[in-house]
Amino acid sequence: MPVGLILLALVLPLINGALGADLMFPVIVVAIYVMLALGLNIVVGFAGLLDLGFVAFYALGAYVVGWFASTHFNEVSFAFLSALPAQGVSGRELPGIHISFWLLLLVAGAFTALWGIIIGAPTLRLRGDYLAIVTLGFGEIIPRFFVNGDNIFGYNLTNGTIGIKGIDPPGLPFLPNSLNTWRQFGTLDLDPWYYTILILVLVTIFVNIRLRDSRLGRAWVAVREDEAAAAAMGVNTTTTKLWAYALGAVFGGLAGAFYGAFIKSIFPTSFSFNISVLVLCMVILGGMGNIYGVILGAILLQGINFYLLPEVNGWVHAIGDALESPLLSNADIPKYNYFLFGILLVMMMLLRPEGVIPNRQRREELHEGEEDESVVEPTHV
Amino acid sequence: MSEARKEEVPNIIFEARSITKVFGGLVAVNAVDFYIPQGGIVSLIGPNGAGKTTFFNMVSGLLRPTAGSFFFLGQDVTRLVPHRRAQMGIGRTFQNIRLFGTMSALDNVLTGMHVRLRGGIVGSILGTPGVRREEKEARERAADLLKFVGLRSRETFAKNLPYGDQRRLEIARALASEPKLLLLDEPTAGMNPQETARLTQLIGRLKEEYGISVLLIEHEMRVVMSISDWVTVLDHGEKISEGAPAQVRVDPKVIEAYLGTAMTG
Repeated sequence: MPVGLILLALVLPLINGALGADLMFPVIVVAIYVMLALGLNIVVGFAGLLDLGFVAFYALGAYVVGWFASTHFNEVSFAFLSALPAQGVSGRELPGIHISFWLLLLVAGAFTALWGIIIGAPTLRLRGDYLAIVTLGFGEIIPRFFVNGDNIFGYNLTNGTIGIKGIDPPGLPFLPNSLNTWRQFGTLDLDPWYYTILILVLVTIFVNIRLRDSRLGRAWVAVREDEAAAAAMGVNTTTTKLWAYALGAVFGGLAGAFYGAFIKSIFPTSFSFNISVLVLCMVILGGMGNIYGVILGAILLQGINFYLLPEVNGWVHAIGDALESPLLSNADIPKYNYFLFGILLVMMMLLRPEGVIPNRQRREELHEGEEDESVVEPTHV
Repeated sequence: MSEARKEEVPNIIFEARSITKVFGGLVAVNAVDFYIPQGGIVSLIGPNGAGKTTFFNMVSGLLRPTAGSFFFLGQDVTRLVPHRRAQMGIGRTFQNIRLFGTMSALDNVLTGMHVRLRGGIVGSILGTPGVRREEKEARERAADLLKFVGLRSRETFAKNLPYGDQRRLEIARALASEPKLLLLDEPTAGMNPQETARLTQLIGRLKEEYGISVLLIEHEMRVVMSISDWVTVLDHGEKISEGAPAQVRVDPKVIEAYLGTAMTG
């Protein structure tokens, strides 16, 4: 792994502090999306299973933290290794379930892996368009469940559209008071959050690389290339695909769990179909199957969202003011982000379908025989 | 004739009992009985459309027979899925080459080893010494296999290899699963005479050096006649003849199937 980039990531909060910039919040959100994109890359990039419902795992991960680290289940009072302020007299008397975030990360990973298998199992015989439609369906069902889950036979499981609020921060309660930032994971200093997601991202990258080069990684590519031949070579295509769904879902779930704790309030509407598409765009744009490409894709798209579009908005307003054109000075450019992503994606597919940093294999697939055949069959795509 | 053969070769590695396959209204394979002796090279020949490849796909498990059963190493494998048969020791190549095109030659062979490797997910992620050692040994063994089939380029993508090399890589990939029975579907198709001769020699070595039994579909009669211990002839899904190569060659029914009814009644 490029050591320079890791070092840069490690000192980023210092740079941010020195510049007096306000970068940490957007950087953390970008990092969450890097994790999501890397998770989806296992399913789409490695195993070649088009998944349009990846947001489901993001939502499930977030709701695990929402359920088990908030006052949501207020009919019980249970705390386990929770980082809630112990000094508060009522700290242990809080209603609801309060389990340590670090433990919940594991729970969220296992829970979403299970759901990856449950959602993956019915799709095993499907390919291409059909697979995409079914995964799309699941991606819609799960947020829909959270919307309507406030009355399951009279029981309020998800609190519906109101969502779950006041989610506990992670915290490291065993630290001395002098390290209060790290003890409490407050909202003013985002460094502990940043380093937490950085570690999660680094672990995700590491696991992705190891999986790619493993026996399972080869089986994924084999199934992607030719399922029947893979089966004839002894690859169990069923378990191979289910592992892709399960492992991809784990990272989606971990990202969701972090997001829930970070943003503190989760609503079903935070997990719309848009996110599935956005993450898929990151994977495709960056270079399907290439770990670094996918990371770059996530950074690029969220960078456009957070930085470029507001910036362009400023420019357009300035131009509008100068020209005295109310149309331009009142324009809301960031509103058109999905429109711009769409254009970007169309352009990429036409000009560089393999992504910014392509996977060697994918490039070969997309440019198959172009040199030999383009003369003979100029219209062949 | 077949009863006599059973007595001669008591060790049967693979047996098909009245295998039938019907596609819609078409009987592709009709009640074929068939067996392969341990360490033998058995050829399946017949004109185009005789049902050879259908039979073959049933042996490897890609197709389910409509009726009849298969026995491998004394076990009924009729209902086993392809990867389970590969685990048991049935390896195959494909008539229309089906390599993993965008994997390197070496990775293709390593994928062939899939069933013989143990490396689990946790072990691979953590990089445990056991998994590392296994991967290293697997790479060495894969390189040896490539050498055995006479392939020099390891890192080239399979689809960028010359045609003859792709055929050989398919054999190396099939050998990687350490098969006891190897199914070769027209391995010399599209090869020039030199390549064919080299491949024929290679198939002979499989039997001698590894003791692998071979089921061969082949159109090139010179290959069939020179290396087969036994030849079975299919025509319109029916077994019309079987026997030693020299016998089958002169069987009038075989000649008729290939050349049509003699004009000079």
